[in-house]
Amino acid sequence: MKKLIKSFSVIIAVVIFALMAMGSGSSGSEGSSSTGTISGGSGGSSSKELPTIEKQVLLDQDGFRITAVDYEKDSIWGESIKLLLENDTGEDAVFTCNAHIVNDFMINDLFSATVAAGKKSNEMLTLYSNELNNAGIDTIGKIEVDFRIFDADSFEDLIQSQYATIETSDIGKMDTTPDDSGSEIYNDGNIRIVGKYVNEESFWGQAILLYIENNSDSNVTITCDDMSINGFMVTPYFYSNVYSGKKSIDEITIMQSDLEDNGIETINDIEVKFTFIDPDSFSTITETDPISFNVG
Amino acid sequence: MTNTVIPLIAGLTVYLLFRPDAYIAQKIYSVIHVSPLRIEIRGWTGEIIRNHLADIMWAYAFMSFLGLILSENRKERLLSLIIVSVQIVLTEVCQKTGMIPGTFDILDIIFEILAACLAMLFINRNGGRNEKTY
Repeated sequence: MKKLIKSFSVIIAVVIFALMAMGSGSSGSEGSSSTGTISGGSGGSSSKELPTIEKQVLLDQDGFRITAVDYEKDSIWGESIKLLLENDTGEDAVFTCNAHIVNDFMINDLFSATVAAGKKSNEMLTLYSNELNNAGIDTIGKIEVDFRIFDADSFEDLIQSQYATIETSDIGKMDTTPDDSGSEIYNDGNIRIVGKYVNEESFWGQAILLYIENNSDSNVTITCDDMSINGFMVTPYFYSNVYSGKKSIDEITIMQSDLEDNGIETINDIEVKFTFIDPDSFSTITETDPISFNVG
Repeated sequence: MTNTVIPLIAGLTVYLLFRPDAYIAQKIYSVIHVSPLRIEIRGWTGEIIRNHLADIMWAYAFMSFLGLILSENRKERLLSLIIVSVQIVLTEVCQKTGMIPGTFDILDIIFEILAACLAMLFINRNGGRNEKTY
């Protein structure tokens, strides 16, 4: 009996660790999509028709080609662009993005696929539903992607940045009016920041939602520091990359433990300093004075 | 158990910080709703950290975990090393043939087996006093 239990335990252990080993691979490396897709249909709770796109080459450089094939919808993750990735070089390469931008809003850029030398792969560039909801986007008219390709072994950049734009059939219906409701807390003519509201259901604790506009000629990365809530210093977690001429909805996350340690139940008085950084050189462009504000 | 859990957490951290392209890192970032971090370290140190450290942690954790189950005598501990080594080689072969995602790397096999041997050394040191002596 003891031997049987031991053998069974060993088998379970082997299976668990084998699954871990499989999960450590790069996503979609062998051309298989990890999500089911519903093409052109009305999956889930939404009954609106999906927009369409024309098949188009987004990148064709140095032996790498990316083609936008179709617009699809996944019942779990949301709407996606089906991409054909082609690697005609002699090296394994990772196709990824520096940024996704939908209707001029920065969206979380989780896309990565390893394509072996000389191979092709069909992948899905997912436009996560919650990201679009946060930005108030109902109708997707324009998708911009800043592609990056690097060597899978050495991690050296092969193509550091290549911008591509996809217009959907709904480009004419695209709502370009941003939801910038809230309290404007910073505006220097280039960067505008609006404090919108506190998200009390954040995974880590609570989060302060910000609307950010970059009206300058350069891309900018924004971080914050020296934050206090209700007079108590807290550690803010915030990082926002906003391309020139684009907008973003991002949040400053405060850990639940930080709030509890300081007896903060409701976030009222907030004070924070923002730092604007050049994302290419990582040099600081400017740091604001402490900004005090309240959000609803 | 700490010899299993801590290396696994360390390995996961390596993926999150240095390998945001890995499937498991992508899933975690999408769940926790945080922008992926990208930390790049150049040179051979960076290469080991990026390409091998997480796998070394995994192999060490696996061997430690099996060592908890097969711990009665030296023979059982040797069996656990064999199981882990076979698993390591099989995983790499499956990556080579494309059966599972990942890139075949002979260095992974070497580093992981070394890590498993290191774990076995610790297990032997702690397990030896449980053996009967005559």
